[in-house]
Amino acid sequence: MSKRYVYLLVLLFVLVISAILLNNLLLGNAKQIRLKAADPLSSAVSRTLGSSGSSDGLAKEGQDYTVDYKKSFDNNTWFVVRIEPGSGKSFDPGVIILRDNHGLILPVVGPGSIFSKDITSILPNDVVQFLNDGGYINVPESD
Amino acid sequence: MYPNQIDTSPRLRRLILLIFWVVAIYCIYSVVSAALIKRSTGVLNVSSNVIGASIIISQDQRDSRLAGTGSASVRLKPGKYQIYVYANDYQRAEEVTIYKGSVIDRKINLIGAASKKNGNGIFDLLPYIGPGADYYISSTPITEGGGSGPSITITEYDNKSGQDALEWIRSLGYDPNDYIINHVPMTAGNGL
Repeated sequence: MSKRYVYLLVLLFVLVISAILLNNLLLGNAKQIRLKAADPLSSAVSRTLGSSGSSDGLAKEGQDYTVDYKKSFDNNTWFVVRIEPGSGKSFDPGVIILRDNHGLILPVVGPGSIFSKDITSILPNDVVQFLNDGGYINVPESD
Repeated sequence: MYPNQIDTSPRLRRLILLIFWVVAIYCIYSVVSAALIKRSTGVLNVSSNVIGASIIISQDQRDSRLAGTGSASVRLKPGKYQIYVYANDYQRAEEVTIYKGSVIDRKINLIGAASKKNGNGIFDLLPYIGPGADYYISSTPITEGGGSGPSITITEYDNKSGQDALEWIRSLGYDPNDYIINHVPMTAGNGL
């Protein structure tokens, strides 16, 4: 191999090291995040589930869970979302009650398959009615 | 052939040259794209008082991404974003606007979570019924099959009673801004 090729390899090495250093200098340790278009409720469900069921970041719809249905109440302020775990995922199916708080969709209750009657005091009547009809509220049996 | 030369076939020489140019072009591309990313994005540094708190970045009509735990530093394109911080049963969310070249630092404290080792703070005092039953302050219970909340729900007769409820929280030394608070109007169904 001629000296020319040895110089070429050294130059290549210097180029790669310089590129790595310049990249670090320009971007620091802040990684760029690109957010894909998604349904806001699915996004909220993924946040609520966190990393449960997913080894890489948040749970993903269609992979870690599927949405059975979404129902909105009170002019799209309250939402009830029923989810099913994806195949091989450990969490239970159930519903999540979400609320749009000035553009921030936050979980209020859930996920769960049956809730204590206490939650009815913090939910609007139509949501309570819906949960009651679906058998999600635990009503103690009277003697 | 010179003494310091080893015979190299033309095919090998072409391969070495090809590898050189491919790697060189990739290096130049990565530096140029890093410079463009730096010019077109802003930096958001988020930290929380809870080690291990999940820091999630989201945007309207877009998905959510886990940026880090405890603290995170991310580059984002200009726009309005939501930062969600979750730890155990506590959550907090804030909005932030990113501009080109901006560096924004946000400290999002989960007061309740930090004080949990010394009790549940304000949640130990709930539910609370305000004077004249004008408002009712309750916490979201922890649910079966996973957790959410506890957030605070103020069931209020009117705006003034809602403000009175917030004042009661402040009088105990807690900042209402540190909690997720849902305001619910008092109705025949949920009234006292």
